[in-house]
Amino acid sequence: MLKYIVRRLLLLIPILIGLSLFLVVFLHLLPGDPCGAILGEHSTPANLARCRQGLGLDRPLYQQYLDYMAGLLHGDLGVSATNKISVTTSFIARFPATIELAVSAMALAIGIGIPLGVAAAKRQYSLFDNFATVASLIGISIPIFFLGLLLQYAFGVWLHWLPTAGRYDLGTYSYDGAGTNFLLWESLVINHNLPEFVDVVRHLILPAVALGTIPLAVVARITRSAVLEVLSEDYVRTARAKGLTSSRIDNRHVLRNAMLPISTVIGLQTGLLLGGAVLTEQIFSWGGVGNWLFQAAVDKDFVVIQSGALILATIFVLVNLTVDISYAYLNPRIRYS
Amino acid sequence: MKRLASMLAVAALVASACSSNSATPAAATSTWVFGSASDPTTLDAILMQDGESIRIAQQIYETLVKLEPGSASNLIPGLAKTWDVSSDGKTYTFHLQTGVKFTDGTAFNADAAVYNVNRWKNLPEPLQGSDYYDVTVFGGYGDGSLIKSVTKVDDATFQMVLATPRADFLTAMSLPAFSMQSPTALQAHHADLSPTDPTNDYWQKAPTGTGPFMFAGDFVPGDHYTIVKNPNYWDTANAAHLDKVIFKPIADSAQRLTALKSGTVDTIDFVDPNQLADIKSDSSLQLISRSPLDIGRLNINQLVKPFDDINVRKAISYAIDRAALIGTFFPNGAGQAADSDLLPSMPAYEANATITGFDLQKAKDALAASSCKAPCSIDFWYPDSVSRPYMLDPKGEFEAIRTMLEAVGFQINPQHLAWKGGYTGAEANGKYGLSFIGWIYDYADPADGPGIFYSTSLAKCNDVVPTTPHNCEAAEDNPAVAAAMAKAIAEPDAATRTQDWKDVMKLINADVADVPLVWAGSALGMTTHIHGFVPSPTQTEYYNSVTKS
Repeated sequence: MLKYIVRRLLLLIPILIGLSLFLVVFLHLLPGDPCGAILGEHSTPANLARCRQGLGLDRPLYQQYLDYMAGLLHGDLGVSATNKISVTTSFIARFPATIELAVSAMALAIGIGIPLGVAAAKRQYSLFDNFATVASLIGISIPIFFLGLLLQYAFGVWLHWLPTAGRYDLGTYSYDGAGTNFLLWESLVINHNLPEFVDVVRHLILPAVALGTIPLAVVARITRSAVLEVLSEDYVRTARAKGLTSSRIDNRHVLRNAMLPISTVIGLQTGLLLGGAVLTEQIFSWGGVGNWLFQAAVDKDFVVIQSGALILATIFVLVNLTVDISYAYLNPRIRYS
Repeated sequence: MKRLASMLAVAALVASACSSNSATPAAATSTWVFGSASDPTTLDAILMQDGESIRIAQQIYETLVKLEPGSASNLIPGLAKTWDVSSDGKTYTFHLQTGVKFTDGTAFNADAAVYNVNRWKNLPEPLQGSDYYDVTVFGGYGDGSLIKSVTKVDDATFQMVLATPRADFLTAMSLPAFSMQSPTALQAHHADLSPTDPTNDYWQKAPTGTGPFMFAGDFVPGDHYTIVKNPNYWDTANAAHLDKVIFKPIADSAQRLTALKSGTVDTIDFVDPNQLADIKSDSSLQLISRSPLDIGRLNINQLVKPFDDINVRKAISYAIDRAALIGTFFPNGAGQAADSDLLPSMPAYEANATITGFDLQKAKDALAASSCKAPCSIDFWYPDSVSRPYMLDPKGEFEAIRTMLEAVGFQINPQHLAWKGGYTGAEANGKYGLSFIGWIYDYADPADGPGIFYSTSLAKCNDVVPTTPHNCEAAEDNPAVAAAMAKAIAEPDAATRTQDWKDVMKLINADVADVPLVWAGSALGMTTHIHGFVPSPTQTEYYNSVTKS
């Protein structure tokens, strides 16, 4: 197993080198550079030349790439061309926001999706099953941006129940980024402040629902079909014939065996969440990684895009590796070598 | 049982959450949450050029002279109590306010002022290239700078000597880029090292000025930037009323409005004209409009055929029905039809005597008299993925103008590129014959508009070094324009100078050097709890007068 993990981690190296090369070439093939974005109407040939020189964009591309990679080897992810803040600083400031959002969305997806799928499978073709199937189909089909706007309008503007932007009530509470920036943790565990925690949860509800709806629907559908498949297995019938209680059959035999495809989907959806987070964070002005990378792409902030993509690729690979490892625990017959 | 208990707890939590709806403590009434468009990009004043950085800098820093609140040209004392100008317009003696301290506790005096001015003049090389205002106003560094010398006279007096007179010099000194920053903080945070050097953390950690507000360390990129009241502000009569201002970046204008209407923020800027009616009809909100101080225009590069023919340029200008354009794209009074790069609020403005307005017949006649007969095929460039105050919907406006031009015999080849995808650079390099562009004035002076975009130089243009001074963007190389403009920029007497600029604009308009389209204002939306906000056409307001009820 250890050998397998090491091999998978070593595979990261060529993946990251390949990705960085692709990004450098691709980004420089696109028209425009950070200087045009920074200067806007103030662009003049002289200003642009000075700016390019200042950012080192006047050097040959291979030299820019080698310098970037040399920095990377020293743990230097570079500096934003737009605001001159180091990528590491920005990432550390923003990653907790994305993690908090993604984990909440995934908790929603798993917490509701799996029970919904199991319940639908156990009442196949019932009214509830049909309702769950249609609801999950809508959930998969609805674009995040549309759902996000709908939620904002309904619960923010119309009902005034929930806030529509940011992570907490800026006028009431204060987080200056000096802590972990995991606000659920900070408010409840560090500050022991329930109203503050409630405020953070209130800010989290709409973006988490917007981001979590698609994975929720996917998880519910996969759970339903996986459970249905297992329910028809001989060993389930045998277990029933032996007189085991329904809950024991569900937990020990059905769910355990159905978890393999479900965990695969959860892993894939977790990776895809990062993509969804870009949209969600934009809509809810959420100060996370997605929002940051989106703005970097708009601003042609090459270094931020490159380093951000490399970090996300690493996370994606690690999440998938974790899922693969979890197979071995879910199904002892699976062995890696 | 356990499950039931946890479900009840969650239900209670959600219920309390939904009903509480921001039980805001009393202290929060003096916190103003401002929905801005983005984070600041730097607060090292001399390196700033984006509006969101300048918005914050205006509160934490001060300049020697200031624009009167709400004015785009009237100067009032800032850190300089008074000033004298020599008769040749080259020597400026500033008499400074006394008893002023930076927010790091160090004194603001002539030494600090001289330090700052010397930094502008001899900007360290790694910072050069990011200093738009420095290079635009002073023209270069060291011996190439407009600042010939700066000397301390006494603790409260210093003198700046210019290499040549510049009539708008004092007004330019009101630009937030020329704010006074604490030399101690600049040095301690290595502000003179490359902005990409990790030890240069001045703007992120310690931007230090003398203003009514100050930075107290609360900046979470992408989430918020907070400034707090400066408790030791020297000008007690103008001290801040609010305890705290928090800038929340919300990039999209529709999202900003949603945040305002849901109570997430107290104020938003750059309200979309289509949202004006919505805000006006909401009794809990107020709309604050700024007068226009910009120009949306079509740039024409006279080196690109067939735009070298003045009749083609005239045909384009006559063919555009600006009133119709504004009715569609700048509704609710968001814009006015423009006939000049100057605004009617500027003393040097005069109605365009060459192009007197929309006239289909004159447009057709001009095209018929030109070297490019109908159908006259031209490339017409517009930017994607951008909305500027003077150009809210570039593609929509392009389509409208295309129809107008095709009605008089032009055949339009649409060309487009993302604004941040190289459009502005290519446009500035004169690569486009006809293109959408615009300008936002920093202060109401022609030197800060036509004085810049019609300036000529020997700088490399489109990768070619010109042999004679050349205007890269528009190829407006009329020597009479260059001479008249040089005279106007240097003329110290206000009345003469106004006449000089009138002469410049007559020449530019006679050349049909561009096609002015719109003067557009901008607007803020805020809750009715916010009072005392004085809008400025320059978009850089002072927040010390603002209160929240």
